[in-house]
Amino acid sequence: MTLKLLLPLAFLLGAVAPAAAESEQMLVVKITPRVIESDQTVSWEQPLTQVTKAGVPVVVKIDAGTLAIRVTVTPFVRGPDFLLVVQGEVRQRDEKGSRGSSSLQSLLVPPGESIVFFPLGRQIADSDRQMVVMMKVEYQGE
Amino acid sequence: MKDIERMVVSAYEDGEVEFPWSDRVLKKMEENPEWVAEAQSHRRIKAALASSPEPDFSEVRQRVKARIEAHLPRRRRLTLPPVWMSVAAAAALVLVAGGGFWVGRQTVATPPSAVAELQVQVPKTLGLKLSGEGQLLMASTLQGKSR
Repeated sequence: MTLKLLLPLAFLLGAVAPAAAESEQMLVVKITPRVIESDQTVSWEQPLTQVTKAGVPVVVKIDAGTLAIRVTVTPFVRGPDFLLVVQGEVRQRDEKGSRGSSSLQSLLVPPGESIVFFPLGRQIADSDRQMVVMMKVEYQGE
Repeated sequence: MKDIERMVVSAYEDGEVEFPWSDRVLKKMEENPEWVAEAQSHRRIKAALASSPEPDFSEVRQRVKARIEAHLPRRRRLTLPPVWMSVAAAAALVLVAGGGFWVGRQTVATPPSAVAELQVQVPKTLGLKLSGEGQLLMASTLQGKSR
């Protein structure tokens, strides 16, 4: 009987301990693409969460009609902070054809701090909507 | 005819004697009518066996089975007091739950080997324009500016 009780406990302890050790290396990337109106109200957003590890990118493809946006976020651990490398690629299709732009930037971010990415640029007319991609990286289990 | 010679003829008739020994058996048959008679006897037996129906062993099988079962010890049914049954059920539950928990944790904790691709679609009613190059900022910087 003792064996019957001890076996599951040993099974639990043995299985959970290595998993917890592994999770120290795992990162949770929270990405929220948002459409913000000119009066700063949010007209659309889609929160996304992806578990990854340092150096492994998370790609978000945003289909916005004539615009195809691809945001690639690669988190790295730099001491107490995260280094986020963000690559933005935009392709616009219209009657004139197809054109695009791409950017590659990085930021050193303290844990829990959010960053904002404007894949379509920030310099827009006052009446226009804006696409904003909010990003946050945390250690898994925090 | 010796017993060993009968066995050779029987083997030859069953196709178990290979060349060059088969040639020697044939030569023996040419020389000894006794060998030929033995071979013909084998062929008749084989033909008789092939044409006769398969014997019905079902009755014999049933009797043998009954005799074996009569000698086997009877299976004892597991009867435990209710308390022990509850403890056993709890142990089984812990084992199953532990296994499920472990499998679930492994699924989450397993490092992704490939690049994760997420896909979203902005409603078509929301028209967006490309106005420049992508820009990356700290959210706190943005909030500070907007204040």
